[in-house]
Amino acid sequence: MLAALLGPDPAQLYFLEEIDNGIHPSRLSLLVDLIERQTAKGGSQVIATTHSPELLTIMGDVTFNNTSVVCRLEGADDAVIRPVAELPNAAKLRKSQGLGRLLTSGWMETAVTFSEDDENGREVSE
Amino acid sequence: MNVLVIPEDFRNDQYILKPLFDRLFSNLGKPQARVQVCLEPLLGGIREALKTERIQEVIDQYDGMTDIFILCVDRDGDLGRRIRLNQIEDDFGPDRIFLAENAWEEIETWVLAGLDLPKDWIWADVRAEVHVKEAYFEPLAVQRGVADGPGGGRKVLAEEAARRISVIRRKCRGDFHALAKRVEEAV
Repeated sequence: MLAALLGPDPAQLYFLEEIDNGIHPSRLSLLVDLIERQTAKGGSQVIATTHSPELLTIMGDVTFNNTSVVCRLEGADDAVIRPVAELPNAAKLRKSQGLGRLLTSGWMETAVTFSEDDENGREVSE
Repeated sequence: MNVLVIPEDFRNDQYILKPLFDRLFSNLGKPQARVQVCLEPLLGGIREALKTERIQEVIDQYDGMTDIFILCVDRDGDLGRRIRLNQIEDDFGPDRIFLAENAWEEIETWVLAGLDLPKDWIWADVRAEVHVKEAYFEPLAVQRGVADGPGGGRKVLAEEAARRISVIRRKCRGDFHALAKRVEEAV
């Protein structure tokens, strides 16, 4: 990943699946740091997927603001994609409890479920 | 309507609480209620589940998007547990609907109440047993051939029991029925 991104002729877009696969959790911060620095320059865009609480915990503010959760709601056949930063209190909870804990506890999926609107089955509170 | 059920340890309890409360809300005329069980890993036992700061963390996570919070723990033969639950309700109840209940004596009792039990079992004995998991639930799961499934058979057996919510309410009047009544008033 880094060889491609930091090489002499980087592409404009990289899609990296399960970016943390095979990497020791203590080394993830180096990977995230280098990717965030490189993408901040504006030449390349990186889209990555992960299931790693550790990675979510250490990522920077810009990455957080561009992070989405993908999940399938109960009883649905398809998945939904929602920006994490738009979930209720996400920014505040990220600071107080850490995004990794929120992932581990299933908060993201529940927050998406609880935030769905009427046309997706939300029953309005009386 | 969004409902968050908070167990003392989600690893097994989720398989019981989800189907029971799904069906309870459906029976109360709220079939669209979205019931989710809190999977917070730090709620790893009764001591943590009864800590104000731990519950506050869960409230912080879900306040503003949850209509009803329901804390469900085992009584474990501790007759004073209700007092602690009352304190917790006093702490968190004024600003939201927060209900707390202790199952006599363990959550698994609610499942057993909704099932057809072996004929030589006496319900009063089951109800009074402090270690109902070991004494009754686990042997029944083995007997039914579901002990190796999710939650040691809790998923399958709780989904079956949930079809008889009215029976559970009748056989568990002091805890499940009492909670159901309070939920009914709240919705």
